[in-house]
Amino acid sequence: MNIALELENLAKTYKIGWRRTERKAVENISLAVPSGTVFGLLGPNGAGKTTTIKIAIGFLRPDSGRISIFGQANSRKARSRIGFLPEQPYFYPHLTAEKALDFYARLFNMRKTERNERVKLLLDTVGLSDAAKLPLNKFSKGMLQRFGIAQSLVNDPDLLIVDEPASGLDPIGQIEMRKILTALNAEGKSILLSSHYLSEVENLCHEVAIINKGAVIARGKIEKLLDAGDSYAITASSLPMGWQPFTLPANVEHVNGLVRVVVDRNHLDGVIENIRSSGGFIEGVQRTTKTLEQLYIEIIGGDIHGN
Amino acid sequence: MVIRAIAGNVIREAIRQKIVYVTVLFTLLLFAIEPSIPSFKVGLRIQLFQDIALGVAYIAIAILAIALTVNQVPGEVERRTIYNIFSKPVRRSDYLIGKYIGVLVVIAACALIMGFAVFGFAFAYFGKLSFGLFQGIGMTVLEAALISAFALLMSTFVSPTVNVFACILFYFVGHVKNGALTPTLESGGASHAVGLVLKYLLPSLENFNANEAIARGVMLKSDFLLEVFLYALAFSAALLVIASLSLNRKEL
Repeated sequence: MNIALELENLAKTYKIGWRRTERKAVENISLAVPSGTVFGLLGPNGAGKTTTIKIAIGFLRPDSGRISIFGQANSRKARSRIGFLPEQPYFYPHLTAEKALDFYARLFNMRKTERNERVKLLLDTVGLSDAAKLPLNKFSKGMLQRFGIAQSLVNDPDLLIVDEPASGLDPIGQIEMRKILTALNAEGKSILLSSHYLSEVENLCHEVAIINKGAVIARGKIEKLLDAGDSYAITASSLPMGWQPFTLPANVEHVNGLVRVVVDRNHLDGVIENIRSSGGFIEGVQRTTKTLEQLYIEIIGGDIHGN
Repeated sequence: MVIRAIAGNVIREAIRQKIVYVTVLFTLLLFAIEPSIPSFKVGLRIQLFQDIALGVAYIAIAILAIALTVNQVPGEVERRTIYNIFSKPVRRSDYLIGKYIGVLVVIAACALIMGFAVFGFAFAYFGKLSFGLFQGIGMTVLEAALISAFALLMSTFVSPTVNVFACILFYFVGHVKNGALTPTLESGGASHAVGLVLKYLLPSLENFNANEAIARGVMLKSDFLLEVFLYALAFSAALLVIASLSLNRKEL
C-alpha cells in the first residue's frame, strides 16, 4: 500500500521565555497515512496534534525524526502535493472569495485561464459559488471554513491536512464539512484530520492515532480499535422481572420491558438456550463494538485520572 | 508570479490603511499653508519653500516606510494568514521580496503625489517650474527603500512596537553617523577600528539628503544619482538577504 505521509520518530521541544525553559511538545511520534484513506489524529488540548501537523507542513523543524511525503523527503516540492487547512483559518478580509482564491492559485504559478477555471470549480465544490463576489469579512464562520477548504484544494492536492475543520461550526456546518471531506476522499484524496469531535472522526476516518502528552498511545484501523473483543449483545423480550442468566459472566440490563445481555462468544449459545427455556423471545443478537468516545475516555480518561 | 502576487496583496492592503491617506493629505496641507509662515516675508521665498517642502516630504515618506513595513510579517503571523501562504510552495525569500516591492510601490506612489504637489504649488505660488524637486523626491524614495528593508529585517524577529523604535534609531543614527564618527575615525587604536566597522556597517542616510542643493535650483548629476541608487540597492539587498535568513530560521 502506498503511504501518503509518513512520520518517523518525530520529536520537538519548545524553548519558552527568556530562560529558554524546555517543554517537550512531541516525543517519538510515528505514524503513516495510507494513500486514499482518512486518518484521524485525536487527543486532548496540548497533546501535540497541531505541533505534529506543523512539522509535517514544514512550519516547525523537528529536533529529530524523518518525514516523507508520498515516498519523497520533506521538501518544498514534495509539500506542493499537500493542501492545508489550519485551525480557525483567517484570510485577508477585504478580498472577495474569488479574488482570494485567485491569490492563492497565483502562489502555485498557475496561469490566468487555469486559475479562473480552478477558482470556479473550487467555489462550486464547497458550495460558495453564490458568494464568489462577497468580501470574506462578510462570510459566516461556516462559510469561512468552507472557503478554507477551497483554498487548501487550490493545487488539487493528493494529501489534505485539516486541523480541526469543524471547530466552532454549528451542527449543520459540521455535517456540511463532513460531506465535503467525504466527497474529497471519494475522489481519492488522502486526508489527515485532526479533531476534537469524536463523532466526526468515527464517521470519517479509516484509521486513527490517539496522541497524549506528545506521544502516540493508540493507533490502528478504527474497526479494530473499536472492536470490544469477542462479545455479543442479545436482546430478548417476555422474560420475567429480575431475570438473570445461569451462565456467567454476562452484563444484564432491563430496559422498557426488554432485556439486554452482553456475553462472550463461549457463553452465547448457553445464554440463548437459557433465555428460551425461561420463556423469553430473542429479539436480536449483535456483535458489540465500543464507540470512539468510550475508547477515547478509556485511554485518555485513564491517563488523566492516573495523574 | 509569486512575488507579484504577494506585492499586489501588500498594495491592496496598504491602500486600505488610513495612515497612508492621513500622511499624504497632511503633507499636502503643509505644502499649501507653507507660504503663510512668517519667514516667507524675509526673501529667498522659493528656495525656502522648496527646502521646507522637501524636508516635510522627506520625513513623511520615512514615516510611511516605517508604518507600512513594521507589521508586514508580525501581522501575518498574528492573524495566521501566513499559514495559508507558507503551506503553499512559496520561498520565504520570495515572500519577503514581494512584501518589500509592494511597500516600495506604495511609497513611490505617495512620493510621486507629493512631488507633483510641491511642483504644482511652487509653480502656482512662484511661477517657476522646478524639475529638480523630482530628483529630491526620488532620493527620498531611495532612503525609504533602505528604511523599509531595515524594518522588514527587524519585523522577522521583533514586535511592531520594538521595530518602530529600532527604525527611529536607525533613521537617527543613519543621519548623524558621519559627523558622530569623525572623532572616532581620527583617533587611533581600537576606537578607530570600531569607527571603521560602524562606518561601513551602517548606511549613511545623509547621502540621500540633497534638499538644500535642490532647493537652490541645482540639478543633481546623473553619475551622482546612479551612485546613490547603487548605494541604496546594495544596502537594501544586504538587509533583505539577512531578513531572508532570519525568516528561514523562524518557526511558525
